[in-house]
Amino acid sequence: MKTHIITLVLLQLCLASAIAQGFENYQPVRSTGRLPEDFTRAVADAARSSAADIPGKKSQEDKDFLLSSAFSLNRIMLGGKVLFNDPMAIFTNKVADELLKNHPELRARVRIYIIKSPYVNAFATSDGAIFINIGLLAQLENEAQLAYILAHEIVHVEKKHILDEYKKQTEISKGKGVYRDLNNSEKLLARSAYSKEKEQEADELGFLDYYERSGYSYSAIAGVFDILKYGHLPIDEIPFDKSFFENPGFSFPVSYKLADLASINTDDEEEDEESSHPALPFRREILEKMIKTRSGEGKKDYVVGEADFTYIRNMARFELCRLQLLDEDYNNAIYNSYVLLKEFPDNQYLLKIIGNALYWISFNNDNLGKSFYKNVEGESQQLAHLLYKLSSKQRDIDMVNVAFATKLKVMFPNDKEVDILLRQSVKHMVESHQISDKDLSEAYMNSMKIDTVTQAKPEVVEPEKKEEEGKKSKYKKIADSKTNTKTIASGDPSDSLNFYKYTVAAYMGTTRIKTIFKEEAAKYEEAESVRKSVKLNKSSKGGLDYKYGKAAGPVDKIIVVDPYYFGMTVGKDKKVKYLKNEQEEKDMVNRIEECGKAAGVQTDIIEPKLFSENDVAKYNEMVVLDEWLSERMLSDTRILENTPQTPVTSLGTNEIQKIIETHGTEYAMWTVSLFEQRNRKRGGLIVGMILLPPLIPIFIHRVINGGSVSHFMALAFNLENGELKLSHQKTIWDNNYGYIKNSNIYFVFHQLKQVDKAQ
Amino acid sequence: MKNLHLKFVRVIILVLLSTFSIGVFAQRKAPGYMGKRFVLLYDQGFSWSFGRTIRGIPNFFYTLQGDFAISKKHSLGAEYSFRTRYYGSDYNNYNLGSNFQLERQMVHKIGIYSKMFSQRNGHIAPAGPYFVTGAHFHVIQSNFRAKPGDYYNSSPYYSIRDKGVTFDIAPFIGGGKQYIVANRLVLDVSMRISLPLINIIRNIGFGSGSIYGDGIADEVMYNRGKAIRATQPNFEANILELRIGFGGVM
Repeated sequence: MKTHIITLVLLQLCLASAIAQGFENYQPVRSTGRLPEDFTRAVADAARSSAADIPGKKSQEDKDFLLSSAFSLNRIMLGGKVLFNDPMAIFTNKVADELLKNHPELRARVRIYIIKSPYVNAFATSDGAIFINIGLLAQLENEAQLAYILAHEIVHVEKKHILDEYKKQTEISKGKGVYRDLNNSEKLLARSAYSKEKEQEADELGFLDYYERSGYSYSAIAGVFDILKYGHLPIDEIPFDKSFFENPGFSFPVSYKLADLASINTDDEEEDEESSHPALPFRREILEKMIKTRSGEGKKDYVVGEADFTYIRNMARFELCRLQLLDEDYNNAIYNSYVLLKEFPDNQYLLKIIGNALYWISFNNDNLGKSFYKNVEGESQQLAHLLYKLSSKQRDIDMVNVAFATKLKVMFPNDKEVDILLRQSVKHMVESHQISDKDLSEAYMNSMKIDTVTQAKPEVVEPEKKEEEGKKSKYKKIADSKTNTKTIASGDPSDSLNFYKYTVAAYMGTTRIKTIFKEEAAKYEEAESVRKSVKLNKSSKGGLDYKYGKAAGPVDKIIVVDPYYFGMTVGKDKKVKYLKNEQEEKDMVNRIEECGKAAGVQTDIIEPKLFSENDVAKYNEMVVLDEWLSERMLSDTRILENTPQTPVTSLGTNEIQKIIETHGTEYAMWTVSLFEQRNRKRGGLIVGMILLPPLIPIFIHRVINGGSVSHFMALAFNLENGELKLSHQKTIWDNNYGYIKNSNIYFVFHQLKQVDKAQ
Repeated sequence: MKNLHLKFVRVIILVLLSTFSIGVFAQRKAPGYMGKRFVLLYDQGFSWSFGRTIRGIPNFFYTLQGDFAISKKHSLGAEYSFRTRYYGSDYNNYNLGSNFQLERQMVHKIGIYSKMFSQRNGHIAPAGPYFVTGAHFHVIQSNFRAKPGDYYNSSPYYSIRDKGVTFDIAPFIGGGKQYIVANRLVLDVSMRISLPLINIIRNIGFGSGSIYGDGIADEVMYNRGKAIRATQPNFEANILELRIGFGGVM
């Protein structure tokens, strides 16, 4: 008890100090304190504990559900996406305290976690864990809305809706009782109807049982369903000014500004019979009815506090930008950062998000898709259109990316992440277009003669109107936009102008910047001459040996991050053996340790299934490394190539450096093992045995071991420079033997240890 | 005849060269099984003689083999094998050897081989399915009873006792699978087809003649007949051999 009080006080202090700290030097949020039991408990224990909450005798269906639910919860918890004891989780827990102040037993069961997901969503598990997505927190208007959403989820927990739904789904799927004669589409409708019923119950009881009895006002939640409706839109609707990416040396052609923006579709959705949730108008109507009949006297929009709410919402918004970047939703990542920059001008974190998003657009230009901007609604379409125009010429987007990175370097000369970003952007530009620093210097000299290359007419917004607009919430602006259709006059088309030449001209007078351009150009020249000499010398294999794979060494120590294992039976009796999976994953850790040792490679394995409550630092390390990998994976299919354009990530460099120092190695590896047991038709084999008796031993082997397929994949990287050290993939049919697994794992370490003689 | 001999020698040299040249190109350290590259095996071989009649009892070969993984795909090895008895067809055909009755035969085989392991399904040498090629040198010790007289008019009784040592060279091919158990033990299931060449050469062109004639020719014919009678069963007992082996990887 005493420990809990001390922990709570410490966490309060953390929140208070975090609020005081502000967002000037914002760093991605991390979990603190001790690892909750949900993280450290074995699947079997979690299932047993959940079973204790269900009174009476448990059916096989109950047991199956509890096990699968415990397994899923475990995977969510240890997947590196969950935040706990961070300011957002602490705040949300306080809101839950208010809602459940009269239900201490239920409060003890409910555990609230924040999920690092950009999507607007919240969900609950049967055993009391409630998850709120960062995407949802970022879109809230007030604390009361969060309270109502929590109340809804609490009902799911209290009424065990998830278990009921599972039972009903099974009943429907198996065609029991009244569902016997239903066809597939009727079964789907039956499932959907049951789910909707539970959602409606959660809406109503959430309000009546918890929300109404708390101190939160009724009027504050009138627009709560708009959060769901407009969840796909950015956090606010403000005009995007393309001059944001311009600098004194250049401006975009006027035609890069979209004349007519697509208005936001405000029509309510129609009832979808197959959806799991009732239609929003219906839900809104029921809530409005309940609100209207009650007096909100003495009720408040904020109980925990408006300042705290604003702080955690801003934190969620800062996080959202990064999550959208990692989700390759570049337009929203840039636009949301742009919106936040209005409140937090020159914020280093936000500007770096934009810089990185531009870099990835430039690097993976094809990913944006042709005319993607046409599907974007509202003010962010202006940005989408600009990105579309720039992306239509690879050279243009590359140069604008370099220009923005250069601008960041000028603003934050000592930031290591910015330095990496700029160097990487310049490298990409030089390699793709062979633009030398001399060309850029010439452009600089030319730019000195003229003020700007094109002169865009700045959009004049009246100050009063601007202030008024700024105070409105996103949802109010959307509602108002129903009546106002915005049309911007299109400018004169001057697309033919080669503005790209002048994008960095303004910075080429700075020696420091010039040096970076020179250095990267020199590196490119050197790499080119090496490449040419390798081409000339045909006997050289350039380090690749088809017999051995690529020697990736020497690696003496490596961090192995969350070795993943998942096995299931496919076919008619689709089944996941949850406990076996858990055991196999632990076995995998032993195999990795043993094989690493045999190959002479020291391994630091971060295995979440072996975490204890004191392993928060390790958990955070896993999260940072997983995020690093997600960012590294943005290079798409080129992840497996070590082309000269292999990108180096720059966000989170400081945290990665810390991990490198802690573990004494710059190498990290991720492994995935998947196993499928297929139900083989044995009739053919028996016929074979009768017809070909001498081959009976082979047929017996096939009967015993046949019908399985396993996949093993390992990816190892140099965390310092993003280099892919090794990629190993194997598919193994019908030979699920331990020695084959060991052989492959060992081979990975063997490659990591080996040094290429050609090098 | 000399040319035919040379041709066979060339074939053997080519097989051995192609088998062992793999090792020359292996430049980097092979992974082996978790770093262990040397496999020592005791193989129990079973070989039914493929003669005019096939007897139910197989010939037993007792083999000790050791091989070393030189790459992810290849192992090179050597083996010593022997059998103490011959269970095969009793034949009384028209050729020279029919004047000898084999009483007992002991064969020692020394060989070198290369195993080429399949890379499918994640196998890495020295584990998994393999194809083997190599060659054996056979030392055949035989005890006979011989009939006096010539080929066309020999005595119906095997009244003379004799013994002799002959040699043979046999290239072989085969396949099998090596399983690793408990990270150290090896289980090997395999089969081999070999072709003792000297026996074939002897049979070509020496199909007729007499054992006892006049002068040196008689003695030469006697020795040839004895050699044929020694190598023919060895040929039959080597055509197909099934093996099961136990050992360790280190």
